[in-house]
Amino acid sequence: MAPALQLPSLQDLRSEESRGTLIAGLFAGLLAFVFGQQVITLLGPGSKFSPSLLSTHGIGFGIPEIVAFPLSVVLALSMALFIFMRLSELNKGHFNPSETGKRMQKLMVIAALPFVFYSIFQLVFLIETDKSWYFGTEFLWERVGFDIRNPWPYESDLASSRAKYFIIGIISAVRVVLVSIVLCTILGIFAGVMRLSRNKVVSSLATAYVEFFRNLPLIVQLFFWYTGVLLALPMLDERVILAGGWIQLSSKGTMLPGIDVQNMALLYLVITIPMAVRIAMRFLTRSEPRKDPLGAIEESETGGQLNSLLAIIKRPLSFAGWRSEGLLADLLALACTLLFVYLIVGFWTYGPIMFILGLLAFLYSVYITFNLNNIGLNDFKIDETTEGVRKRSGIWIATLLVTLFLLNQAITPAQPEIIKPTSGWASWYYSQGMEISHQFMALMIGLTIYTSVQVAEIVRGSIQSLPRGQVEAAISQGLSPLQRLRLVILPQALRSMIPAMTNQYLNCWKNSSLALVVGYSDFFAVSITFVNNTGQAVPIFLMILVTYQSGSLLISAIMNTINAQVTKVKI
Amino acid sequence: MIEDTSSTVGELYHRTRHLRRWIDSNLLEDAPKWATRETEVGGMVAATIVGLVAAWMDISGILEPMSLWAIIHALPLFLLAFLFYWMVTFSVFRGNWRLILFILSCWGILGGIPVDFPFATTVYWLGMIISAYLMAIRYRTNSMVSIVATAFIFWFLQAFFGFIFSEAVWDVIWTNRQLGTIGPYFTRTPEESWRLWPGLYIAVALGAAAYALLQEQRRKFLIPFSVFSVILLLVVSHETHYYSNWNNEIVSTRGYAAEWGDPIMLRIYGVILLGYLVFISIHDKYKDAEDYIVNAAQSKLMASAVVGFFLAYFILDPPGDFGCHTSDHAIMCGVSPEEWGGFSLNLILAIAASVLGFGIGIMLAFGRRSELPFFKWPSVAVIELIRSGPLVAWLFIAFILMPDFINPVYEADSVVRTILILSLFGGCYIAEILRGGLQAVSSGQVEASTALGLGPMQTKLFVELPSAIRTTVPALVSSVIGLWKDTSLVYLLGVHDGFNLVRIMPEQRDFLGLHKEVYLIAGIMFFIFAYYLSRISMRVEASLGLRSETGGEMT
Repeated sequence: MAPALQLPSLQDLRSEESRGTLIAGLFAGLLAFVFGQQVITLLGPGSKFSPSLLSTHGIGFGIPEIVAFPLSVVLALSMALFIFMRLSELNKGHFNPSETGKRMQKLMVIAALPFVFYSIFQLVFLIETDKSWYFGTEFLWERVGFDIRNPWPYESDLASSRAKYFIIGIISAVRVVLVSIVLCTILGIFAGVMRLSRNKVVSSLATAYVEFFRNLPLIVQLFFWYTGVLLALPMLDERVILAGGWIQLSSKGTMLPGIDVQNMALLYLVITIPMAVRIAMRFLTRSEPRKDPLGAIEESETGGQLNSLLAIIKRPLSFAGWRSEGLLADLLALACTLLFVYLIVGFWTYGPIMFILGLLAFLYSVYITFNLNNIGLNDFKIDETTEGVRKRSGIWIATLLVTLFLLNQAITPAQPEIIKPTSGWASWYYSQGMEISHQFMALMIGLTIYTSVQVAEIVRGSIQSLPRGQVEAAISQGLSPLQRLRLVILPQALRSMIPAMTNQYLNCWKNSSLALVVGYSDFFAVSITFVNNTGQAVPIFLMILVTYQSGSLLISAIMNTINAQVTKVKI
Repeated sequence: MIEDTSSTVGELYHRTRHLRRWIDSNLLEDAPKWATRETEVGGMVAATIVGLVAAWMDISGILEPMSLWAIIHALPLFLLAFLFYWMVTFSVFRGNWRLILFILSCWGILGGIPVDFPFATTVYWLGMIISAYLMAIRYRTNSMVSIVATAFIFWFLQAFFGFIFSEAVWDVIWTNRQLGTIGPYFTRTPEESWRLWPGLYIAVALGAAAYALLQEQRRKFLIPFSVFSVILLLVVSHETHYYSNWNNEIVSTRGYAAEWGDPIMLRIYGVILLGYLVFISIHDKYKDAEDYIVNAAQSKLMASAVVGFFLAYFILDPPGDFGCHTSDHAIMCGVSPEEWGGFSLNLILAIAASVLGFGIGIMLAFGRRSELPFFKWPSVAVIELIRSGPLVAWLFIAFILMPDFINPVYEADSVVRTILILSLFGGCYIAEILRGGLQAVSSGQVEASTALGLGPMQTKLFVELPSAIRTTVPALVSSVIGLWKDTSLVYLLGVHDGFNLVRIMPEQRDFLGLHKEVYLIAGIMFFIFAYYLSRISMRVEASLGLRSETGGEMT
């Protein structure tokens, strides 16, 4: 039987628990005083220059001012006393832990009530009166009124709506983040592996690189690349010419060779030939699956109609037998890739709906292949001896040469060329060539280098966490260094690397918000301009947070799929 | 094998065996089968001579106007060039013809071979690719990689040192020393700059005491501290002159008096003396003390660190505004945090955000793990909300939206709001790290402590938390380093932090366009503390026994 509210005796007050209770009570009382005072002010009558919650709703009366301070003091004291007495009663230990927990929770709720009331009332008050908290969405369809660089693939137009600029901003951010993620992974794996090399020069170079860029803030690096390097490039008449005229750097931007597609069919052939070679090699070396493939859906399982429907969706090509099923799946993937490329090229002709359908078809074909991987139908007898590797390298080098030859026929790269008008007010400009703005370049270089050093540390840590015995066993088997790396070390290291890499990719995505400081118009920079123009801070910041969160969820989902593929085998 | 040390060659061969083994395993490949003692020793001697001569020819241009800086500039370059030429010559004596072909082709590609013949470029490129391939298929790429890497480092350092020692105009940094360290307000009003010194004294005393309590040998602290003091004195008192377009006369880069007896130098002597005294006295007292005494002293040190931080804060800005209306710069008026600036502000922001963030992180981590919905759902909501956006977005939210909530309760200026949002942001990341650490605490510990009669709060604070922190120390320190680096972003809120001031230094009329020097210095300032913190982290990990080097090398 729990005794009712009872003041603790002086004996009890000396224990440490009672001191904690006293402090808790006083703290609750302080919170009640501070927030209670604000709630009472909000519920007061208000005046013309400092409206209160009630006065904005047209209610003319409220808690009068004279009563406010004593009322809040009374509230605070009663709250402090109540919490103190209840807490000390709880601490006597009359209840079992779950009951104590529940009662403690109720006490916490009561202690937090002034804060909760303040938050709610202040929030309502702000939404009613403050422009930043106005949730109307008319601002999205208003005229935007400013220009942005590089809105590819759209055109920058002063009369566009803010919603369109936001979408252009998202595409810009995705562009720079995709390129940065790909480059930083390659660079980071190189740097991480180099750090562990036996060669002292190479390992000290990699260590210096990683240590230097890891301890510099990203914003310092971005400013250095943007203001210190790229904006300090010479003007057009003294531009830096690399690679015999194909790459030109100047204060206007980086000019890369322009691409002029002459023969579209040859371009499809260029995509097809490497994939066809890969499919052929896979077909020739595919090995027979074990008698009981993992996860195969047996006909004898209960479930009936739904089960076989699911089976048909997961393995639509199971009629072909084990040798041809993989071949057909690969050919289907090739066909869907070609279709997807066709729909990308004809984006403006066929519209976004067909583009999404093509994307779904491509993803479905990839899913079929992943499913076959999971049930063991895509295992290959790969010859990893030196002769086998040389033969395979030979085949791939031949394929590469044929592809490059066809690419040369299909595409004419155009060297960037400057037109110097001799009359009128026009300045020099480039007639052909692909321009990469300094903002994109600075952001990309900064993000790549910054994320690559984190990736290098992750790679190094995961390789170093491998048991020493693995490397020693590989050496004792007579594997060459490259074979050791490819067959023993990296597959095992990959398992532990991927969650940490996911984290770094998420950081890269969120760090792209620093486009604001180099003037690159991604959706964050554009949204800040919106906030300055419309003043509706809360809806716009909500949009920003939702976009970042969606991007993070997408990256996590993709990486989790890759993780599942890599960790198929249980170690 | 009989070591023939009778002849000179044999003697040299025997003496250099360790060096040769190190070179064979780390830099180049093993010696070929036909190599004899004579060829090895002859190769090393010839390589040394060629290396010295060629390296000297390469860097003699730098030593034209001979000075101390020229020597510092030339020495690393000389060593690198010597290494490069040594490796090339020694490879010739080792008979590595593929490597020679590779080097000649690279030299041709870079335009070094003056002989011109048709299809020269193609021949050079083909030669490079074929020789590299021939070395790669025999897995003998060590020499090629060493030589290419050394050449690359030499090229990079040549450009970098050339910039630092010849092209750069460092007057912009020397002139703005005060501005970058203490901010524009304290530079304008030297009458108030006395407020900054107590903080420095407290920090140095605490640091020296912390080092003393490590019970290491004295010279491990005294030597670096002495070097640091000398550098500090040199940096503070350095004076150069330049021609100022603003004043149309030759100006000194030092706007304050810093000859050896001046007040600012006396204060710095005091700081250094304080460091020595505190270290030596505490080191003597705790030299042979037992562990439990040292632990108690460390707890007292931590408590005094917190007290010291608040003391330094309140000396800078006493609470309330007594005397602000009566006279200028009254003692009890203080300097509002909006006026603070420079890299000292970055330090204050980072320390406050780390400490507060740690507290918030502990609360959020325990809240997320609790089963009571009252604690769990708000914790989850806060953590997921704050982690969903980048720090820049939250800084803008703090700038624009936080006043709406906080101003009725407490008028917070921009620096206090920055500290709040930084600590909230850091706290959420620390909460996630601690959540992982708390999950690794075995439930037996919690059950045992409950059986002993410890209450839930006591279990959390004294049993779970120390275990969790011990496991996650590397991640925690790296998040503190991240917070230090993130203080560079606060310039978006209009706070005059070190990076903001350094960024606008090239807008001064005398120093227009000197961006590279300024960003290098900003980088160095951030780098010093971040690198120092990561070294401390490695020491803490080692002392906690968390480092395990398995796996190891792989090529």
